[in-house]
Amino acid sequence: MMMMDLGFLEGGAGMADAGHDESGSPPRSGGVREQDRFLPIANISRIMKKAVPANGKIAKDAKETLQECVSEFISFVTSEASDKCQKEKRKTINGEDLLFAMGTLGFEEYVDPLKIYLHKYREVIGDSKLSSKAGDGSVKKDTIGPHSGASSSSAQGMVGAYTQGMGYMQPQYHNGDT
Amino acid sequence: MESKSAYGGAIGVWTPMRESWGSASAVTSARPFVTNNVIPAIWSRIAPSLPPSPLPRRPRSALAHCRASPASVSPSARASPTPPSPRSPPHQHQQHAIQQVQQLQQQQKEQLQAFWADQMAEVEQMTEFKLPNLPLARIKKIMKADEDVKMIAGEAPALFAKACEMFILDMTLRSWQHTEEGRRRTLQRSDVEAVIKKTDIFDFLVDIITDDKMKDDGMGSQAASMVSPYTSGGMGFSFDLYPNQHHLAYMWPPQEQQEQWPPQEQQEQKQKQDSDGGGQDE
Repeated sequence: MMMMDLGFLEGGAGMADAGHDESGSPPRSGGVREQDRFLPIANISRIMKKAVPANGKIAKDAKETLQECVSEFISFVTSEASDKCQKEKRKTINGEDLLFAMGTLGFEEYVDPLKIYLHKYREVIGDSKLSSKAGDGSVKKDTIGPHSGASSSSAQGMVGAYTQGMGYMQPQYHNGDT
Repeated sequence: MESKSAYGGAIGVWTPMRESWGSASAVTSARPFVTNNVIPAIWSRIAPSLPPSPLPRRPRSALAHCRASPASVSPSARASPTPPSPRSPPHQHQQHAIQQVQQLQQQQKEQLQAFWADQMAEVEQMTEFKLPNLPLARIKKIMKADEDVKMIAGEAPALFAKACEMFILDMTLRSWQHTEEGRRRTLQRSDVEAVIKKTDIFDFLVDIITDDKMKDDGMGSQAASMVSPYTSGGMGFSFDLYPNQHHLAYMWPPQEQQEQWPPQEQQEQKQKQDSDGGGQDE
């Protein structure tokens, strides 16, 4: 079946969505709001483009569907990890719990890269106090900063170029989005 | 069957077939491949003259498939003895289609393996710690939506950020493979839905798509992708109706008939050669 999708400025749409998402999240910590149920569609869109060739396009409804899928993935793994913590009578979910949960739920391929990732995280941000502060900082700046990516980066106190260092399938990176 | 055939021959249908044989023979002598090269040649000639815009793409992809297939088909053809002529054509068609599907699946599997190798290499080669571009606070809120979740270590949202990046890339890559099966360049919701349905580890996502109205469209896309290995509806048509040649000739649309004519002649010629070589009359 041949389906032609009308071209639209994804960059502009992405920025608009990002702005909307940011402005829609006031600092107040109420219940989980509709907008808080999903990750920003602009961030998801940028990641999706890395897995698609340069001449490929992604329909907006596909991005929205993946937006829902990612939230479901987080809840799915978190729930499994939480069950394990309860059985072991621990209150805090940590990295190992998440990795174990992913392995149990069939995401074995994810576990090995993430183990290395977690190890490096602890090397750089090993101080639990710093980690706690980073978390708080992230919350505050996430609601204020114009770019969620930048706020995440600055919240962690990292200095240096922030880039997605993946060279798979000729990633197409829009400088305007950064 | 035999009497009908004789009757057809008596009418004079025989003469045009002889002329076609001559043409087919000329084509055969020009090229080493017997069946596989004839189809792409015909399609490439027909493609420019076809007015509808979607159609020209089919011959190209067909050419791509056929270029790949000779290498895999020739050895088996040489290795196996000539099968009985009544069963030979359907068997060959089936084998060809099966090989194409297997090739496609192998390519997709290799793409996924390459993806995970890249992921591992990327993480191992990190000199500085980099967070994927996903908001940690939002991830934390999603985690806390579960009432059973009490406390979350600071490393958990960061780890999830990387996991979610992998999840998005994994799912997008598989969805794009489905897009390519349908010979499209735009990844649609139906591609994502098809991946969710056919991949075990994504079973937990089925509830997300069952509420959608796009379900039927997803099934349609899936069906389309299943049909694509045959590339030409005419071939399938021919396969089903091969035993009865006269009816087959009458039921073919003009273009389809034109496309299929040489392969049939090839098969006819093969049968003739087989009977000559074997010294047996059927």
